[in-house]
Amino acid sequence: MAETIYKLMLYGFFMVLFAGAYAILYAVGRFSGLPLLTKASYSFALLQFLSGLGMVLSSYLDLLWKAIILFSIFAYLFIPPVMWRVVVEMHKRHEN
Amino acid sequence: MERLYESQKLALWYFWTALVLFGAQLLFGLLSAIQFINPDFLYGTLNFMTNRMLHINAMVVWLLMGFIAGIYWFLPLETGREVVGIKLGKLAYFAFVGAVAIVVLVYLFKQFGSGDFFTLWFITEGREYIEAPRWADIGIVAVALIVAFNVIGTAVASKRLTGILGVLIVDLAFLFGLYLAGMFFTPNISVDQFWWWWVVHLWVEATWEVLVGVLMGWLLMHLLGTPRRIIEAWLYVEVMLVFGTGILGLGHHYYWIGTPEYWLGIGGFFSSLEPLPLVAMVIHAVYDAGVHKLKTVNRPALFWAFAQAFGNLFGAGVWGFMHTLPQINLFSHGTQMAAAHGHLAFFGAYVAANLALFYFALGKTRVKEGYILNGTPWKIAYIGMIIGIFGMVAALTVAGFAQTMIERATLGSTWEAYIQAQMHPWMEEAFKWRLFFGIIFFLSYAVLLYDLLTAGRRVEALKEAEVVG
Repeated sequence: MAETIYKLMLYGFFMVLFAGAYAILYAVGRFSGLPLLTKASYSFALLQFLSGLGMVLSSYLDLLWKAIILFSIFAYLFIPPVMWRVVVEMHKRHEN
Repeated sequence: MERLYESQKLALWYFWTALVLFGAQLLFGLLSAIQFINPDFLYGTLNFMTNRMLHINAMVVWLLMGFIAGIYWFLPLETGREVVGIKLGKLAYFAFVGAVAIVVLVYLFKQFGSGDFFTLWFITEGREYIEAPRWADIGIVAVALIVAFNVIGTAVASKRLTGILGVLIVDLAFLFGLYLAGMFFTPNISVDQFWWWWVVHLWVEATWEVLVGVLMGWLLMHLLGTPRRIIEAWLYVEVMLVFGTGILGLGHHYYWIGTPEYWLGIGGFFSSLEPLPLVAMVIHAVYDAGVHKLKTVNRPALFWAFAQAFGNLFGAGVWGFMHTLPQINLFSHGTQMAAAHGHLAFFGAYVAANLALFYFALGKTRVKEGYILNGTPWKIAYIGMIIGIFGMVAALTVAGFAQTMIERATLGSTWEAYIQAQMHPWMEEAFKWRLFFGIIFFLSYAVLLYDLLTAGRRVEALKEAEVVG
Protein backbone atom coordinates (compact mmCIF):
# COMPACT_ATOMS: atom_id res chain seq x y z
CA MET A 1 0.00 0.00 0.00
CA ALA A 2 2.73 2.45 1.00
CA GLU A 3 4.50 1.92 -2.30
CA THR A 4 1.29 2.46 -4.28
CA ILE A 5 0.57 5.74 -2.49
CA TYR A 6 4.19 6.78 -2.93
CA LYS A 7 4.03 6.15 -6.68
CA LEU A 8 0.64 7.85 -7.10
CA MET A 9 1.87 10.98 -5.32
CA LEU A 10 4.99 11.11 -7.47
CA TYR A 11 3.02 10.55 -10.68
CA GLY A 12 0.63 13.36 -9.70
CA PHE A 13 3.49 15.68 -8.85
CA PHE A 14 5.29 15.08 -12.14
CA MET A 15 2.10 15.17 -14.18
CA VAL A 16 1.31 18.81 -13.29
CA LEU A 17 5.00 19.79 -13.17
CA PHE A 18 5.56 18.53 -16.72
CA ALA A 19 2.28 20.12 -17.83
CA GLY A 20 3.61 23.46 -16.56
CA ALA A 21 6.99 22.92 -18.21
CA TYR A 22 5.24 22.07 -21.49
CA ALA A 23 3.12 25.24 -21.28
CA ILE A 24 6.06 27.51 -20.48
CA LEU A 25 8.40 26.06 -23.10
CA TYR A 26 5.67 25.99 -25.74
CA ALA A 27 4.80 29.64 -25.16
CA VAL A 28 8.46 30.73 -25.10
CA GLY A 29 9.10 28.76 -28.30
CA ARG A 30 6.12 30.27 -30.10
CA PHE A 31 6.88 33.79 -28.96
CA SER A 32 10.58 33.73 -29.77
CA GLY A 33 9.91 32.02 -33.10
CA LEU A 34 12.17 29.10 -32.22
CA PRO A 35 10.47 25.94 -33.49
CA LEU A 36 13.13 23.87 -31.76
CA LEU A 37 11.88 25.06 -28.36
CA THR A 38 8.31 24.37 -29.35
CA LYS A 39 9.30 20.87 -30.43
CA ALA A 40 11.23 20.39 -27.19
CA SER A 41 8.08 21.35 -25.28
CA TYR A 42 6.33 18.31 -26.80
CA SER A 43 8.75 16.05 -24.91
CA PHE A 44 7.35 17.52 -21.68
CA ALA A 45 3.84 16.96 -23.04
CA LEU A 46 4.77 13.31 -23.53
CA LEU A 47 6.26 13.08 -20.03
CA GLN A 48 3.09 14.68 -18.65
CA PHE A 49 1.01 12.14 -20.51
CA LEU A 50 3.12 9.23 -19.27
CA SER A 51 3.00 10.46 -15.65
CA GLY A 52 -0.78 10.69 -15.84
CA LEU A 53 -0.92 7.30 -17.49
CA GLY A 54 1.00 5.91 -14.52
CA MET A 55 -1.92 7.02 -12.33
CA VAL A 56 -4.52 5.67 -14.75
CA LEU A 57 -2.87 2.24 -14.86
CA SER A 58 -2.79 1.96 -11.07
CA SER A 59 -5.22 -0.67 -9.86
CA TYR A 60 -5.77 1.38 -6.71
CA LEU A 61 -8.02 3.92 -8.49
CA ASP A 62 -11.45 2.88 -9.73
CA LEU A 63 -12.95 3.66 -13.14
CA LEU A 64 -14.37 7.14 -12.35
CA TRP A 65 -11.05 8.44 -11.09
CA LYS A 66 -9.18 6.89 -14.00
CA ALA A 67 -11.58 8.69 -16.36
CA ILE A 68 -10.99 12.03 -14.62
CA ILE A 69 -7.21 11.66 -14.81
CA LEU A 70 -7.46 10.53 -18.44
CA PHE A 71 -9.54 13.61 -19.26
CA SER A 72 -6.96 15.81 -17.50
CA ILE A 73 -3.94 14.41 -19.30
CA PHE A 74 -5.63 14.91 -22.68
CA ALA A 75 -6.75 18.42 -21.66
CA TYR A 76 -3.17 19.34 -20.69
CA LEU A 77 -2.02 18.34 -24.18
CA PHE A 78 -4.32 20.90 -25.80
CA ILE A 79 -4.24 23.76 -23.28
CA PRO A 80 -0.96 25.40 -24.41
CA PRO A 81 -1.77 25.61 -28.16
CA VAL A 82 -5.40 26.58 -27.54
CA MET A 83 -4.55 29.21 -24.92
CA TRP A 84 -1.78 30.55 -27.11
CA ARG A 85 -4.29 31.06 -29.92
CA VAL A 86 -6.76 32.72 -27.54
CA VAL A 87 -4.12 35.13 -26.18
CA VAL A 88 -2.78 36.03 -29.62
CA GLU A 89 -6.29 36.54 -31.01
CA MET A 90 -7.22 38.66 -28.01
CA HIS A 91 -4.27 40.97 -28.60
CA LYS A 92 -4.75 41.01 -32.37
CA ARG A 93 -8.41 41.95 -32.03
CA HIS A 94 -7.47 44.80 -29.72
CA GLU A 95 -4.82 46.09 -32.12
CA ASN A 96 -7.33 46.05 -34.99
CA MET B 1 6.84 61.78 -8.82
CA GLU B 2 3.08 61.94 -8.81
CA ARG B 3 0.91 63.89 -6.38
CA LEU B 4 -0.71 61.34 -4.11
CA TYR B 5 -4.39 61.04 -3.32
CA GLU B 6 -5.27 60.71 0.37
CA SER B 7 -6.29 57.12 -0.22
CA GLN B 8 -2.85 56.40 -1.72
CA LYS B 9 -1.24 57.77 1.45
CA LEU B 10 -3.49 55.42 3.38
CA ALA B 11 -2.38 52.61 1.06
CA LEU B 12 1.24 53.30 2.02
CA TRP B 13 0.35 53.07 5.73
CA TYR B 14 -1.25 49.71 5.07
CA PHE B 15 1.75 48.54 3.04
CA TRP B 16 4.27 49.38 5.77
CA THR B 17 2.12 47.81 8.47
CA ALA B 18 1.79 44.70 6.30
CA LEU B 19 5.55 44.56 5.91
CA VAL B 20 6.09 44.70 9.68
CA LEU B 21 3.60 41.87 10.15
CA PHE B 22 5.38 39.93 7.37
CA GLY B 23 8.52 40.14 9.52
CA ALA B 24 6.53 38.95 12.56
CA GLN B 25 5.19 36.03 10.54
CA LEU B 26 8.72 34.97 9.60
CA LEU B 27 10.04 35.41 13.14
CA PHE B 28 7.35 33.22 14.69
CA GLY B 29 7.78 30.75 11.83
CA LEU B 30 11.49 30.45 12.61
CA LEU B 31 10.75 29.90 16.31
CA SER B 32 8.27 27.16 15.37
CA ALA B 33 10.85 25.59 13.04
CA ILE B 34 13.38 25.48 15.91
CA GLN B 35 10.76 23.86 18.14
CA PHE B 36 10.23 21.12 15.54
CA ILE B 37 13.89 20.21 16.09
CA ASN B 38 14.08 20.96 19.80
CA PRO B 39 10.62 20.84 21.44
CA ASP B 40 12.05 22.17 24.73
CA PHE B 41 13.03 25.46 23.13
CA LEU B 42 11.05 28.25 24.86
CA TYR B 43 8.70 25.62 26.31
CA GLY B 44 6.50 27.23 28.95
CA THR B 45 7.43 30.72 27.78
CA LEU B 46 6.40 30.82 24.17
CA ASN B 47 4.88 27.48 23.31
CA PHE B 48 4.75 25.94 19.85
CA MET B 49 0.99 26.38 19.61
CA THR B 50 1.34 30.13 20.19
CA ASN B 51 4.21 30.52 17.72
CA ARG B 52 2.38 28.56 15.06
CA MET B 53 -0.83 30.51 15.64
CA LEU B 54 1.00 33.84 15.37
CA HIS B 55 2.94 32.62 12.31
CA ILE B 56 -0.26 31.83 10.41
CA ASN B 57 -2.49 34.62 11.72
CA ALA B 58 0.16 37.26 11.02
CA MET B 59 0.32 35.97 7.46
CA VAL B 60 -3.44 36.14 6.94
CA VAL B 61 -3.60 39.68 8.35
CA TRP B 62 -0.61 41.10 6.49
CA LEU B 63 -1.74 39.68 3.16
CA LEU B 64 -5.22 41.12 3.73
CA MET B 65 -3.70 44.50 4.62
CA GLY B 66 -1.61 44.39 1.45
CA PHE B 67 -4.71 43.75 -0.65
CA ILE B 68 -6.58 46.60 1.05
CA ALA B 69 -3.55 48.80 0.34
CA GLY B 70 -3.71 47.79 -3.33
CA ILE B 71 -7.39 48.74 -3.49
CA TYR B 72 -6.76 52.15 -1.91
CA TRP B 73 -3.82 52.72 -4.25
CA PHE B 74 -5.56 51.98 -7.54
CA LEU B 75 -9.15 53.06 -6.76
CA PRO B 76 -8.58 56.81 -7.29
CA LEU B 77 -6.63 56.07 -10.46
CA GLU B 78 -9.51 53.97 -11.76
CA THR B 79 -12.22 56.50 -10.91
CA GLY B 80 -10.22 59.69 -11.38
CA ARG B 81 -11.21 61.10 -7.99
CA GLU B 82 -10.47 60.92 -4.29
CA VAL B 83 -12.02 57.97 -2.50
CA VAL B 84 -15.41 58.69 -0.90
CA GLY B 85 -15.34 58.35 2.90
CA ILE B 86 -11.56 58.29 3.11
CA LYS B 87 -11.66 59.62 6.71
CA LEU B 88 -13.70 56.58 7.66
CA GLY B 89 -11.14 54.46 5.83
CA LYS B 90 -8.34 55.99 7.90
CA LEU B 91 -10.31 55.41 11.07
CA ALA B 92 -10.74 51.78 10.07
CA TYR B 93 -6.98 51.52 9.53
CA PHE B 94 -6.22 52.67 13.08
CA ALA B 95 -8.93 50.40 14.49
CA PHE B 96 -7.52 47.47 12.49
CA VAL B 97 -3.93 48.06 13.62
CA GLY B 98 -5.03 48.60 17.24
CA ALA B 99 -7.09 45.41 17.19
CA VAL B 100 -4.19 43.40 15.74
CA ALA B 101 -1.84 44.74 18.43
CA ILE B 102 -4.28 43.83 21.24
CA VAL B 103 -4.94 40.35 19.80
CA VAL B 104 -1.18 39.66 19.48
CA LEU B 105 -0.58 40.78 23.08
CA VAL B 106 -3.39 38.53 24.31
CA TYR B 107 -1.97 35.62 22.30
CA LEU B 108 1.48 36.22 23.76
CA PHE B 109 0.57 36.74 27.41
CA LYS B 110 -2.73 34.97 27.94
CA GLN B 111 -2.57 32.36 25.17
CA PHE B 112 -5.65 30.32 26.08
CA GLY B 113 -8.58 30.19 28.46
CA SER B 114 -11.31 27.88 29.65
CA GLY B 115 -13.89 26.64 27.16
CA ASP B 116 -16.51 29.30 27.70
CA PHE B 117 -17.94 32.37 26.00
CA PHE B 118 -15.48 34.73 27.68
CA THR B 119 -12.61 32.90 25.96
CA LEU B 120 -14.49 32.88 22.66
CA TRP B 121 -15.17 36.62 22.81
CA PHE B 122 -11.94 37.93 24.33
CA ILE B 123 -9.06 35.43 24.04
CA THR B 124 -9.38 33.06 21.10
CA GLU B 125 -12.15 31.39 19.12
CA GLY B 126 -9.96 28.32 18.89
CA ARG B 127 -10.57 27.73 15.22
CA GLU B 128 -7.30 26.85 13.53
CA TYR B 129 -5.90 29.64 11.27
CA ILE B 130 -8.63 32.09 12.30
CA GLU B 131 -8.12 32.08 16.06
CA ALA B 132 -8.98 35.78 16.50
CA PRO B 133 -11.50 36.33 19.32
CA ARG B 134 -15.05 37.22 18.35
CA TRP B 135 -14.69 40.97 18.97
CA ALA B 136 -11.72 41.08 16.56
CA ASP B 137 -13.70 39.03 14.01
CA ILE B 138 -16.43 41.64 14.09
CA GLY B 139 -13.72 44.28 13.64
CA ILE B 140 -12.39 42.51 10.52
CA VAL B 141 -15.91 42.38 9.04
CA ALA B 142 -16.39 46.08 9.88
CA VAL B 143 -13.11 46.99 8.12
CA ALA B 144 -14.13 44.94 5.06
CA LEU B 145 -17.51 46.72 5.03
CA ILE B 146 -15.83 50.14 5.22
CA VAL B 147 -13.52 49.21 2.33
CA ALA B 148 -16.59 48.06 0.37
CA PHE B 149 -18.34 51.35 1.20
CA ASN B 150 -15.26 53.29 0.02
CA VAL B 151 -15.20 51.38 -3.27
CA ILE B 152 -18.94 51.49 -4.00
CA GLY B 153 -19.27 55.13 -2.88
CA THR B 154 -16.37 56.18 -5.10
CA ALA B 155 -17.71 54.26 -8.10
CA VAL B 156 -21.13 55.89 -7.67
CA ALA B 157 -19.71 59.39 -7.12
CA SER B 158 -17.47 59.11 -10.17
CA LYS B 159 -20.34 57.63 -12.23
CA ARG B 160 -17.81 55.15 -13.55
CA LEU B 161 -18.26 51.42 -13.30
CA THR B 162 -15.54 49.60 -15.20
CA GLY B 163 -15.43 45.84 -15.62
CA ILE B 164 -12.58 45.55 -13.12
CA LEU B 165 -14.44 47.71 -10.61
CA GLY B 166 -17.57 45.59 -11.07
CA VAL B 167 -15.66 42.38 -10.33
CA LEU B 168 -14.06 44.05 -7.29
CA ILE B 169 -17.42 45.17 -5.86
CA VAL B 170 -18.94 41.70 -6.19
CA ASP B 171 -15.81 40.16 -4.69
CA LEU B 172 -15.87 42.56 -1.71
CA ALA B 173 -19.40 41.42 -0.93
CA PHE B 174 -18.06 37.87 -0.64
CA LEU B 175 -14.99 39.08 1.27
CA PHE B 176 -17.02 40.19 4.29
CA GLY B 177 -19.94 37.84 3.71
CA LEU B 178 -17.93 34.60 3.75
CA TYR B 179 -15.96 35.63 6.81
CA LEU B 180 -19.23 35.56 8.76
CA ALA B 181 -19.36 31.80 8.16
CA GLY B 182 -16.40 31.37 10.50
CA MET B 183 -18.25 32.98 13.37
CA PHE B 184 -21.05 30.44 13.83
CA PHE B 185 -20.88 28.52 17.04
CA THR B 186 -22.10 24.95 17.13
CA PRO B 187 -21.19 22.13 19.53
CA ASN B 188 -21.14 19.66 16.60
CA ILE B 189 -17.52 19.57 15.39
CA SER B 190 -18.46 18.35 11.87
CA VAL B 191 -20.92 21.20 11.37
CA ASP B 192 -18.43 23.63 12.85
CA GLN B 193 -15.71 22.45 10.48
CA PHE B 194 -18.13 22.61 7.54
CA TRP B 195 -18.58 26.38 7.98
CA TRP B 196 -15.01 26.96 9.09
CA TRP B 197 -13.76 25.73 5.69
CA TRP B 198 -15.90 28.35 4.02
CA VAL B 199 -13.54 30.92 5.51
CA VAL B 200 -10.32 28.98 5.13
CA HIS B 201 -10.97 27.72 1.59
CA LEU B 202 -13.59 29.98 0.00
CA TRP B 203 -12.48 33.21 1.68
CA VAL B 204 -8.78 32.70 1.12
CA GLU B 205 -8.68 30.58 -2.02
CA ALA B 206 -11.62 32.02 -3.96
CA THR B 207 -12.30 35.64 -2.95
CA TRP B 208 -8.61 36.37 -2.47
CA GLU B 209 -7.76 34.79 -5.84
CA VAL B 210 -10.25 37.09 -7.57
CA LEU B 211 -9.05 40.09 -5.55
CA VAL B 212 -5.49 39.35 -6.64
CA GLY B 213 -6.74 39.05 -10.24
CA VAL B 214 -8.25 42.55 -9.95
CA LEU B 215 -5.14 44.06 -8.37
CA MET B 216 -2.73 42.37 -10.79
CA GLY B 217 -4.95 43.58 -13.65
CA TRP B 218 -4.62 47.17 -12.47
CA LEU B 219 -0.90 46.65 -11.89
CA LEU B 220 -0.32 45.37 -15.44
CA MET B 221 -2.35 48.26 -16.89
CA HIS B 222 -0.26 50.84 -15.07
CA LEU B 223 3.08 49.05 -15.14
CA LEU B 224 3.13 47.74 -18.69
CA GLY B 225 0.34 49.72 -20.30
CA THR B 226 -1.62 46.55 -21.08
CA PRO B 227 -4.93 47.66 -22.67
CA ARG B 228 -7.99 47.63 -20.41
CA ARG B 229 -10.03 45.52 -22.83
CA ILE B 230 -7.49 42.72 -22.67
CA ILE B 231 -7.18 42.92 -18.89
CA GLU B 232 -10.95 42.85 -18.44
CA ALA B 233 -11.49 40.02 -20.91
CA TRP B 234 -8.78 38.00 -19.17
CA LEU B 235 -10.19 38.83 -15.74
CA TYR B 236 -13.61 37.46 -16.73
CA VAL B 237 -11.97 34.28 -18.04
CA GLU B 238 -9.97 33.95 -14.81
CA VAL B 239 -13.03 34.47 -12.61
CA MET B 240 -14.91 31.86 -14.63
CA LEU B 241 -12.10 29.29 -14.49
CA VAL B 242 -11.12 29.85 -10.85
CA PHE B 243 -14.71 29.83 -9.64
CA GLY B 244 -15.62 26.96 -11.97
CA THR B 245 -13.11 24.66 -10.35
CA GLY B 246 -12.35 26.45 -7.07
CA ILE B 247 -15.77 26.69 -5.43
CA LEU B 248 -16.57 22.98 -5.48
CA GLY B 249 -12.86 22.19 -5.12
CA LEU B 250 -13.67 23.14 -1.52
CA GLY B 251 -14.84 19.55 -1.29
CA HIS B 252 -11.27 18.29 -0.81
CA HIS B 253 -11.47 19.70 2.71
CA TYR B 254 -14.74 17.86 3.35
CA TYR B 255 -13.30 14.36 2.86
CA TRP B 256 -12.63 13.43 6.47
CA ILE B 257 -14.68 15.75 8.68
CA GLY B 258 -17.87 13.73 8.87
CA THR B 259 -19.67 15.14 5.82
CA PRO B 260 -21.63 12.84 3.43
CA GLU B 261 -19.61 10.55 1.17
CA TYR B 262 -20.57 12.37 -2.04
CA TRP B 263 -18.06 15.06 -1.12
CA LEU B 264 -15.30 12.59 -1.98
CA GLY B 265 -16.49 12.56 -5.60
CA ILE B 266 -17.31 16.28 -5.84
CA GLY B 267 -14.13 17.42 -4.08
CA GLY B 268 -11.88 15.02 -5.95
CA PHE B 269 -13.36 15.84 -9.37
CA PHE B 270 -13.17 19.62 -9.11
CA SER B 271 -9.84 19.60 -7.28
CA SER B 272 -8.24 17.51 -9.98
CA LEU B 273 -9.35 20.15 -12.50
CA GLU B 274 -8.02 23.07 -10.44
CA PRO B 275 -4.52 23.10 -11.99
CA LEU B 276 -5.95 23.42 -15.54
CA PRO B 277 -6.64 27.20 -15.38
CA LEU B 278 -3.29 27.76 -13.63
CA VAL B 279 -1.45 26.13 -16.56
CA ALA B 280 -3.51 28.27 -18.95
CA MET B 281 -2.64 31.46 -17.08
CA VAL B 282 1.08 30.78 -17.38
CA ILE B 283 0.72 31.02 -21.17
CA HIS B 284 -0.47 34.62 -20.90
CA ALA B 285 2.33 35.48 -18.45
CA VAL B 286 4.93 34.17 -20.92
CA TYR B 287 3.25 36.10 -23.75
CA ASP B 288 3.32 39.34 -21.74
CA ALA B 289 6.93 38.76 -20.74
CA GLY B 290 7.82 38.26 -24.40
CA VAL B 291 5.93 41.32 -25.64
CA HIS B 292 7.58 43.58 -23.10
CA LYS B 293 10.97 41.83 -23.16
CA LEU B 294 10.97 42.16 -19.33
CA LYS B 295 11.67 45.88 -19.67
CA THR B 296 9.89 48.44 -17.56
CA VAL B 297 10.58 51.45 -15.34
CA ASN B 298 9.95 49.32 -12.25
CA ARG B 299 11.86 46.05 -12.51
CA PRO B 300 11.14 44.61 -9.03
CA ALA B 301 7.38 45.11 -9.48
CA LEU B 302 7.46 43.34 -12.85
CA PHE B 303 9.55 40.42 -11.62
CA TRP B 304 7.37 39.90 -8.54
CA ALA B 305 4.31 39.99 -10.81
CA PHE B 306 5.78 37.18 -12.92
CA ALA B 307 6.77 35.28 -9.77
CA GLN B 308 3.08 35.42 -8.86
CA ALA B 309 1.95 33.74 -12.10
CA PHE B 310 4.52 30.93 -11.92
CA GLY B 311 4.40 30.55 -8.14
CA ASN B 312 0.65 30.04 -8.27
CA LEU B 313 1.10 27.18 -10.77
CA PHE B 314 3.75 25.42 -8.70
CA GLY B 315 2.36 26.05 -5.21
CA ALA B 316 -1.34 25.57 -5.85
CA GLY B 317 -1.16 23.41 -8.98
CA VAL B 318 1.76 20.99 -8.68
CA TRP B 319 1.92 20.64 -4.89
CA GLY B 320 -1.86 20.77 -4.59
CA PHE B 321 -2.71 18.13 -7.19
CA MET B 322 -0.13 15.71 -5.78
CA HIS B 323 -2.32 14.93 -2.76
CA THR B 324 -5.77 16.09 -3.75
CA LEU B 325 -7.38 12.79 -4.83
CA PRO B 326 -9.28 11.28 -1.86
CA GLN B 327 -7.53 7.92 -2.27
CA ILE B 328 -4.17 9.62 -1.73
CA ASN B 329 -5.39 12.28 0.66
CA LEU B 330 -6.65 9.55 3.01
CA PHE B 331 -2.98 8.99 3.85
CA SER B 332 -1.43 12.42 3.30
CA HIS B 333 -4.08 14.60 4.98
CA GLY B 334 -2.63 16.82 7.70
CA THR B 335 0.94 15.67 7.11
CA GLN B 336 3.88 17.89 6.27
CA MET B 337 2.77 17.49 2.64
CA ALA B 338 -0.06 19.93 3.37
CA ALA B 339 2.45 22.31 4.98
CA ALA B 340 4.65 22.14 1.85
CA HIS B 341 1.66 22.91 -0.38
CA GLY B 342 0.48 25.72 1.90
CA HIS B 343 3.87 27.42 2.08
CA LEU B 344 4.44 27.48 -1.69
CA ALA B 345 0.85 28.29 -2.63
CA PHE B 346 0.64 31.30 -0.30
CA PHE B 347 4.04 32.55 -1.38
CA GLY B 348 3.28 32.16 -5.07
CA ALA B 349 -0.27 33.39 -5.14
CA TYR B 350 -0.28 36.14 -2.53
CA VAL B 351 3.13 37.14 -1.14
CA ALA B 352 4.57 37.73 -4.61
CA ALA B 353 1.48 39.75 -5.61
CA ASN B 354 1.70 41.94 -2.52
CA LEU B 355 5.39 42.64 -3.06
CA ALA B 356 4.74 43.56 -6.71
CA LEU B 357 2.06 46.04 -5.58
CA PHE B 358 4.31 47.46 -2.87
CA TYR B 359 7.20 48.04 -5.26
CA PHE B 360 4.86 49.62 -7.78
CA ALA B 361 3.56 52.11 -5.20
CA LEU B 362 7.09 52.91 -4.04
CA GLY B 363 8.19 53.48 -7.61
CA LYS B 364 5.48 56.09 -7.99
CA THR B 365 6.37 57.87 -4.75
CA ARG B 366 10.16 57.67 -4.82
CA VAL B 367 11.32 57.65 -8.43
CA LYS B 368 11.29 60.75 -10.57
CA GLU B 369 10.10 60.54 -14.13
CA GLY B 370 12.93 59.52 -16.41
CA TYR B 371 14.46 57.05 -13.98
CA ILE B 372 14.18 53.32 -13.50
CA LEU B 373 13.62 51.61 -10.15
CA ASN B 374 16.27 48.94 -10.12
CA GLY B 375 19.38 47.88 -8.22
CA THR B 376 21.12 44.92 -6.64
CA PRO B 377 19.35 44.50 -3.24
CA TRP B 378 15.93 43.65 -4.68
CA LYS B 379 17.54 40.99 -6.88
CA ILE B 380 19.28 39.45 -3.84
CA ALA B 381 16.00 39.48 -1.91
CA TYR B 382 14.08 38.08 -4.89
CA ILE B 383 16.48 35.21 -5.55
CA GLY B 384 17.03 34.57 -1.83
CA MET B 385 13.31 34.36 -1.12
CA ILE B 386 12.68 32.02 -4.05
CA ILE B 387 15.58 29.76 -3.00
CA GLY B 388 14.40 29.96 0.61
CA ILE B 389 10.80 29.04 -0.10
CA PHE B 390 11.63 26.22 -2.53
CA GLY B 391 14.20 24.88 -0.06
CA MET B 392 11.66 24.88 2.77
CA VAL B 393 9.03 23.32 0.53
CA ALA B 394 11.42 20.62 -0.69
CA ALA B 395 12.34 19.73 2.90
CA LEU B 396 8.68 19.65 3.96
CA THR B 397 7.83 17.52 0.92
CA VAL B 398 10.44 14.92 1.91
CA ALA B 399 9.10 14.99 5.48
CA GLY B 400 5.55 14.72 4.13
CA PHE B 401 6.42 11.69 2.00
CA ALA B 402 8.04 9.99 5.00
CA GLN B 403 5.10 10.80 7.24
CA THR B 404 2.57 9.59 4.66
CA MET B 405 4.41 6.33 4.01
CA ILE B 406 5.58 5.45 7.52
CA GLU B 407 2.99 6.93 9.85
CA ARG B 408 -0.10 6.41 7.69
CA ALA B 409 0.29 3.83 4.90
CA THR B 410 2.62 1.38 6.66
CA LEU B 411 2.00 1.65 10.40
CA GLY B 412 -1.66 2.67 10.31
CA SER B 413 -1.93 6.08 12.00
CA THR B 414 -1.42 4.93 15.58
CA TRP B 415 0.24 7.08 18.22
CA GLU B 416 3.29 4.83 18.05
CA ALA B 417 3.33 5.21 14.26
CA TYR B 418 3.33 8.99 14.69
CA ILE B 419 6.33 8.83 17.05
CA GLN B 420 8.22 6.44 14.76
CA ALA B 421 7.66 8.68 11.76
CA GLN B 422 8.74 11.78 13.68
CA MET B 423 11.98 10.05 14.64
CA HIS B 424 12.72 8.81 11.14
CA PRO B 425 15.84 10.41 9.62
CA TRP B 426 13.83 11.63 6.61
CA MET B 427 11.75 13.74 8.98
CA GLU B 428 14.45 14.76 11.44
CA GLU B 429 16.86 15.84 8.71
CA ALA B 430 14.08 17.53 6.74
CA PHE B 431 13.19 19.73 9.73
CA LYS B 432 16.82 20.86 9.98
CA TRP B 433 16.88 21.71 6.28
CA ARG B 434 13.58 23.54 6.65
CA LEU B 435 15.10 25.70 9.40
CA PHE B 436 18.20 26.34 7.28
CA PHE B 437 16.15 27.54 4.31
CA GLY B 438 13.86 29.44 6.68
CA ILE B 439 16.88 31.41 7.87
CA ILE B 440 17.82 32.13 4.23
CA PHE B 441 14.27 33.36 3.66
CA PHE B 442 14.42 35.55 6.77
CA LEU B 443 17.77 37.09 5.72
CA SER B 444 16.32 37.74 2.28
CA TYR B 445 13.39 39.48 3.96
CA ALA B 446 15.90 41.71 5.78
CA VAL B 447 17.45 42.63 2.41
CA LEU B 448 13.95 43.23 1.02
CA LEU B 449 13.17 45.52 3.94
CA TYR B 450 16.40 47.44 3.40
CA ASP B 451 15.60 47.76 -0.30
CA LEU B 452 12.05 48.98 0.34
CA LEU B 453 13.27 51.51 2.91
CA THR B 454 15.90 52.90 0.55
CA ALA B 455 14.28 52.23 -2.85
CA GLY B 456 14.43 55.30 -5.01
CA ARG B 457 17.87 56.34 -3.90
CA ARG B 458 19.45 53.81 -6.20
CA VAL B 459 17.83 54.55 -9.53
CA GLU B 460 19.17 54.26 -13.01
CA ALA B 461 18.79 57.02 -15.57
CA LEU B 462 16.12 56.07 -18.04
CA LYS B 463 17.28 54.69 -21.36
CA GLU B 464 14.73 55.18 -24.08
CA ALA B 465 15.19 51.68 -25.47
CA GLU B 466 14.51 50.11 -22.09
CA VAL B 467 11.10 51.56 -21.61
CA VAL B 468 7.99 50.05 -23.01
CA GLY B 469 5.20 52.08 -24.50
